[in-house]
Amino acid sequence: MLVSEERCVGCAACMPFCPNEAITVYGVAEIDPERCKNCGLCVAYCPNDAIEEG
Amino acid sequence: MRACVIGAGLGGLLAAANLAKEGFEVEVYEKLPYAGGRFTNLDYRGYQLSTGALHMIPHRERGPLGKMLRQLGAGVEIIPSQPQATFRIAGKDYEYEELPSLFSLRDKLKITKILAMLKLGKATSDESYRSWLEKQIKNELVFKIADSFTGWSLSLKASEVPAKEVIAQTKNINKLGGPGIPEGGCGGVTKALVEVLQSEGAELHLKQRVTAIKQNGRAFEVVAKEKRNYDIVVSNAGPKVTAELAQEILPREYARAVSRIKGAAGIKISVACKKAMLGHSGVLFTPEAERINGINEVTNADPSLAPRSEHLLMSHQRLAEGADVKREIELGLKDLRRLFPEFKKYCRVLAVQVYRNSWPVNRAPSGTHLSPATPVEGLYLVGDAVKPEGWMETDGIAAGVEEALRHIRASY
Repeated sequence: MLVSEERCVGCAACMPFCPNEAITVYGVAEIDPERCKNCGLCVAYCPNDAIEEG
Repeated sequence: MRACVIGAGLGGLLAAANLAKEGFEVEVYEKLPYAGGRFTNLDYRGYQLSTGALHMIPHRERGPLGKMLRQLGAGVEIIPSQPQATFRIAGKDYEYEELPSLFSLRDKLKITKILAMLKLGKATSDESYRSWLEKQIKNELVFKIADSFTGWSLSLKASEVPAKEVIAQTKNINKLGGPGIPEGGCGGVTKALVEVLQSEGAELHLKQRVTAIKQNGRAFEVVAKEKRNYDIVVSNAGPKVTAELAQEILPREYARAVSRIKGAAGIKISVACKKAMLGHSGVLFTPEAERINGINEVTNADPSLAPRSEHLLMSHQRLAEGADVKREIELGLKDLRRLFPEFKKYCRVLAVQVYRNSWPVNRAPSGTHLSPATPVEGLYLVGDAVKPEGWMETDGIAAGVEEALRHIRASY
């Protein structure tokens, strides 16, 4: 998953939806590639189109 | 008559529910997989965080939102905050009425006069609240209290909001009372509104993004997964996005004017507490904190917003344009540790949420008073950019929806 630093506002709407607890947000979202299973939920739940699969 | 509502935030849901009740065939389009926008819950380990608002309604059950929810038959209880607010000054908490006791006799008289002027609700010039205050008194603490109030409720400094806006708001607080907490938080309200939509036969399309609003003869053509025609379109997508969607039909000057509107930004910190840190269900204003403007602890009103016997504390701070976000967050966290000496022992930060740019606190700062009517008849705006004078936060959104409905009723 790729987070666009330009579009991500740091609202953390994605964080609770991650089934693998791979997301931490501190001003901007960061996705831990070790925990991420590429399920894509965060892409759908981001209000700002800031996360892309890749 | 067919109505299309774009965006299922609070403004969109309220508009859709009202239109459906009034006999419109209503369809709501929401790009996200959930309704509520910045006014719903985020369940995180049993704590009900929110996508935006701080689980509070500014004028409890008595303001425009409470009234509208009742009229719609949305079954949500709004629990009045008790006390409405306290102010932490030099380590001690004071209620609003006790504030004058903090000042010298001379300033006390001036403050009594300011409070009376706020109550009477008269200001005509366009000066800022800060410069209006400076004419009455020169006292740093007064200015800090003013900044904590406008920072909490509007995400603005007192110098960034017109005096007449704050005066009109204070008049409404005096008339209707202070905040209340909806049972189940923001999500409780959203859920009740979605139920109203369902019972009225309105359709809610989740995960459906609108890509254009066009005109097709006398009807509007809304492009989403399919193209459909409507008699009216109510947009809760914010003025900028709406102007982009409707670029074929809106005058260019209008699009240019709304593109210049700068929203209000803020930072919310949600904290899990093993015991009540605040101990009441109102707002704690923190005029002497470096960044935080105010704090609430909603579990004192609705314990279901946190796991059993735990508490949910939330702080809010205004975020200045161009500020270093990470540094602002650090200063906010430092404030929390300073305000609550037992923070380390009993509290754990659950989430830091920033609201800015395309997902702000407000899409237009309070005092902007953008009309719900656009230059195109039949196309209306609702949401937090459309707040009539004197109405803040979610009560401002409901008052804006009421104004949009007045326009619609006059023409359809």
